[in-house]
Amino acid sequence: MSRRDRHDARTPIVILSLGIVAVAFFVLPLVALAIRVPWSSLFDALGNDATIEALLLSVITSLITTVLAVIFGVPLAWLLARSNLPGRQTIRGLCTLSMVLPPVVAGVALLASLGRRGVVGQILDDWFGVRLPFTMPAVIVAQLFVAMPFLVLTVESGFARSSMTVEEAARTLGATPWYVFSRVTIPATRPAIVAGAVLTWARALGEFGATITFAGNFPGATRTLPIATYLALETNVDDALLISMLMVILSLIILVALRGRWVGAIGGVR
Amino acid sequence: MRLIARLVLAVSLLAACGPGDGGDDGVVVFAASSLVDVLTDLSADDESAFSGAVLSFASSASLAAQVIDGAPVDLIISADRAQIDELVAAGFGTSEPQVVAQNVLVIAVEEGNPLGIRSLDDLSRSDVLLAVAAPGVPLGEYSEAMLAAANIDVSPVTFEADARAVLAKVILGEVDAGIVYATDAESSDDVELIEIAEGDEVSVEYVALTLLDGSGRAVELLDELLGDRGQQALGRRGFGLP
Repeated sequence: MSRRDRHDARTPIVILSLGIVAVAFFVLPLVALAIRVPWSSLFDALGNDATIEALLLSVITSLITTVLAVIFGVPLAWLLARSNLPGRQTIRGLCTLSMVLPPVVAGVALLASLGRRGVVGQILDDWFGVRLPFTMPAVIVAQLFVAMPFLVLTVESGFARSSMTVEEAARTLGATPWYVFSRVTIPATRPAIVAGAVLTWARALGEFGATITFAGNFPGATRTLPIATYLALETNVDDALLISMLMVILSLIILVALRGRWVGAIGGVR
Repeated sequence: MRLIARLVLAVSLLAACGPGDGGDDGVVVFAASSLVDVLTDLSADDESAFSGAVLSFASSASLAAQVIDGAPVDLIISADRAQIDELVAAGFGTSEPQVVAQNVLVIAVEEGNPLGIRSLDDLSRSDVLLAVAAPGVPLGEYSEAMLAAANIDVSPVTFEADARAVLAKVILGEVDAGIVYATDAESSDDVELIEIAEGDEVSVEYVALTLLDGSGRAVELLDELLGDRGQQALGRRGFGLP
């Protein structure tokens, strides 16, 4: 994306106008939100324990989700990109289906499997007395289920693109497979891993449907910011606007902070 | 990344399959989610004014908020008079609010009632997982008021967005009991209904209001609800009549 590239191509008027419509489409809702937000009560909202509680819960759960997604998602991506596992296409489809499912459906599927009467949940309850629904771990499970595919797909294409010659050289020099994976492959795909983690984090932070279905809504345990926004619409529209603005600001801060360093990486993964 | 492009396309196609915007000159009715069965019954009847109507169900509070934001709606039926009063005060109504039906709160428990829940008192037991509607939603407000009046201290595990969501958690067995409207509990064969003892019971009125921004057929809809066909349909689904 050098300056020279931009000047060389003259922009066709059709592209320009359609592009501007697209920009307006994204910017208008944000501007409208900013206009309608009762800014004078922003600090009241920040002093509101319920909002802060939801904010903290959202930040904590989405970060834990991101860490878990990296721990399990990177190996999965490696298996999909590099191994000779039979049925890789099918596995990839199954493991990424949740990102196209309506989130509420994902929530129902989680209840059917991990709910108190679920296929696995029943065993957890009977044997260990563990009940996931309505707990903070349930929020993380819901987020992980819908958000991890973003990391898996991004990292998989990172593995697929990175050259294998260095890895082969390391192997020839006697490095163990684990050493090659952790010291050669992983550093080479770090931009893709970071980009995938950011996408996953953003999706987890915004998760609503699967969370309210599987984890319910309890202040401090499962009421994340998106759920708080939705319920505030029922009671106090001003609060809903404020919380929405809070989420926009939060997302913006992260996006700006990551820009130069990492958002380029997202664009770089093709 | 070609896979991602394909997935994005699939998502946008899925999103495009959502409910329409009402289209044509269709009548639009907003109703409290507990009325879903009754109005669906009516709209399936070719002779009904509700036949072919676009029906939207949600909690009364969020429906009222949508009307205030300019949704083109003919008739709104709320489970709480407060929302209707708000709309009238804001000048959206075209007639006096009318009570069209009544309902009562009950406790819904799993089929067979394995925990032997008999009364509101049992809801405070530590072995009973309880779901209620969120404060701010009419059902949530009624539930809270009922428990407060009966002086019963409960610790629900979840505050759901509307009556049907509370019921769903009971049906799925994720909670042992939920406080819902009697008609919701009766709509499902998978739950048992525990009536609330006399003195503690709370009754709810459904209030309808014809609206300014609709297609002009609101009065026809309201007349039908208050007439034989509407009242019979309400009665069949367990609603009390005004």
